[in-house]
Amino acid sequence: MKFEPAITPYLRPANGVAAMMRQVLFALVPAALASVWFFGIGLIANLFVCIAVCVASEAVAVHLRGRSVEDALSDYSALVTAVLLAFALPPLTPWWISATASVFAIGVAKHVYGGLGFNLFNPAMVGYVVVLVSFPREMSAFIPPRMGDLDYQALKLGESVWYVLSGQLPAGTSLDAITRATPLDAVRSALAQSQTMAEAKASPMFGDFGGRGWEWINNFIALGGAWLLYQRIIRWHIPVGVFAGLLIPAVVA
Amino acid sequence: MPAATQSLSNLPGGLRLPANKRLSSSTDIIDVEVPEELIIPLQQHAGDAALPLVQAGDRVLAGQRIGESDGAVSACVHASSSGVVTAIEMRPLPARGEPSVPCVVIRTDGTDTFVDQRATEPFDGSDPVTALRQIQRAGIVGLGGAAYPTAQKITNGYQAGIETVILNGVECESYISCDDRLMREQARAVFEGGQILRRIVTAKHLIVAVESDKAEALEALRLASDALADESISIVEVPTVYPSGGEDQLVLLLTGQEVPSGGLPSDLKLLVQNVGTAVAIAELAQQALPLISRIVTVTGEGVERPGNYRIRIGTPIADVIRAAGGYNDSALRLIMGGPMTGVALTDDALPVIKACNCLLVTGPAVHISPEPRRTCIRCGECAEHCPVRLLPQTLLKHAPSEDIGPLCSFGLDDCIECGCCDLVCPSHIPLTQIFREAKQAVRIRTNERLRADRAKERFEAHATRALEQSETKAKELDEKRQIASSAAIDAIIARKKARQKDSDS
Repeated sequence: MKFEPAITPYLRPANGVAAMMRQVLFALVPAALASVWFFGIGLIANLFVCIAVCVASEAVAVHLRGRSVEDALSDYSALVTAVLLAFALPPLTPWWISATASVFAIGVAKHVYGGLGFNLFNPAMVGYVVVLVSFPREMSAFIPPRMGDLDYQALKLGESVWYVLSGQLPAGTSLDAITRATPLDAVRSALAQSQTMAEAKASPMFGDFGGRGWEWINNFIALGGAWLLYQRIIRWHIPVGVFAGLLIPAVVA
Repeated sequence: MPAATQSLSNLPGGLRLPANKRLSSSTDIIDVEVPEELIIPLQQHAGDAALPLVQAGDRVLAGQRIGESDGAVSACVHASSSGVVTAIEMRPLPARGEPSVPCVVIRTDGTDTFVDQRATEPFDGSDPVTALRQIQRAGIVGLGGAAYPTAQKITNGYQAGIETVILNGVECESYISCDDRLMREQARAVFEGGQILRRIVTAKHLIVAVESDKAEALEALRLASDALADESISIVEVPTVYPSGGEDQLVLLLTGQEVPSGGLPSDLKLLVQNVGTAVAIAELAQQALPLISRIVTVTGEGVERPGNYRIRIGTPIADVIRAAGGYNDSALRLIMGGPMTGVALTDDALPVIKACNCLLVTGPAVHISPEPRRTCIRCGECAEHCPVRLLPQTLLKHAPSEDIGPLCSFGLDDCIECGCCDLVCPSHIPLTQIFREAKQAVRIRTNERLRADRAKERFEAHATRALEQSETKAKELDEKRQIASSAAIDAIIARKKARQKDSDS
């Protein structure tokens, strides 16, 4: 009986790039739910725009490079970039800002450098930085989390969608009216007024230990990270390095 | 002797593989009957091919030497059963690339008559010269898969001075269980072979290393070694990690010392032999039996009755599979060896050779890959799992250029081709195959460079000689001219003087 040749190994490999990317997406689901709970559909709107533009940019870039579009899209890496951007951008970002970030992330930060595995920087973060620098006003416009603030008029669902699509707010409201300072902004101004941290954190925009709403999103992101560590998709060295690099200088300085 | 999980060093990298051994290890070893035709390659060992001692038409007996070892590293070859030699011809060898090698083809006569072994000198190892001569004449080679001529290996070790003989019963690759069954059923022979080896090289210690998940084998070995009551023999349990059974890896695990790059365990005064080789030596010493059969694990989802079979060397694989119940519908690939280091063969008409420790028939569950090959994503998993602490990612980067400098400085030659990096790579890059090809390319380039260097040497020597010759010639010419010219001038002066004299007088 004759057989076809084959090369080693003759065992089913456990890993795969697509499988790893999917795990990252699963790990972000709890944080996404928390974001919607506290901030409304802002994240969902971001996700729609970012996913659509990232996937389209990936398809176009790969096609221009003469490679297989199906292989590139099936590794889910464009999807992960889109989701990271959707989290990083403020909830309710106008579509052209999300789109610009996405095009820069995939087109420039990823494919100009050589595609998956050759990018020097995280594509999502490059996209974020580009729009942060180019649209400073919209990028610092954070709507506050739901916190039982009686005199705050939140945007309704339809109004939110219309803002994302057109950049137009309903008559009578303005960007300043619907946005509030972020927890970090609040702490900075409080310290500048010589208040202590305890006084600064007494404000209703702070929750148990961090910014209301944001602390829960971050908790769930940490939980997702723990899941990825447990699945050995990431190793402890990089997260510990990032935190140490943040905490040690912050404590010392 | 008490089994010890003594303080073992950790193996860097490595993987825990799915064992898949119970499939074949639950049944006793079964003897496969002698086939109608035996195809016995004269080149089935490391080193040079054996020279044929017979020709077509000769009648041979089982155990008769039909191939003489040729050269410093070579092995003898024997007829595995009695019959008539029908041909000595080139046939494909079950090995990577299936190269054609000279083979002795025997049509067996069914009587399985053995050659008279009473003429063979008995030995027990106390006389190393006799023992090594017998081991060489019996065609014994390493049965762990490398098929290195055992007598040569022991001789090298003997010259280096051996303190410990290690018998390798680790068998870390998935599916393979022939050594496991051998240790369970022939534990005493394992120790007898070990003792003979120890006497030959005058080693102080004997260690038998077994993976910790082989409980029955450990039990059988403990019983056998208790009967020997020898303080210098120990059985060591080794953690079930692939590739702890590799020679250098086992040495590191047991002693904490690394075999130097390009070196051998004998550099550390160690001799490592597979348990199967030890048993072959014991059987040779006790029954004067040369190496004409071996135990092979026949397994995988594509055979009906997976198990361990004692097979005569030269039996066509098709006959072996038939003895194991035949193929079933899942049979997709035929692999000689294990799933990490084996070779996918294209034809089951090829014979079982001394180096064959497993016949694995795999099915679709293994070969239908869910994802395509992608580019390297720089995750570093390959380096995390490399047991030799290499950087496969970097070797991959330099492999296409076949640049000897970086490839050698990053240790391409130290790669043991274990396949750990292949299995963990999320992009499914066939790293081990790429490294094999790169090693080949480096070998070719190194040879080219050597030839070029030699040609340059010859050219320069020739140029120097030519220069010297032309210088010598010029000198001679000069001298001649000198002599000629001064003689001429003298002659002219003399003639002038003579004429003056004449005119004066």
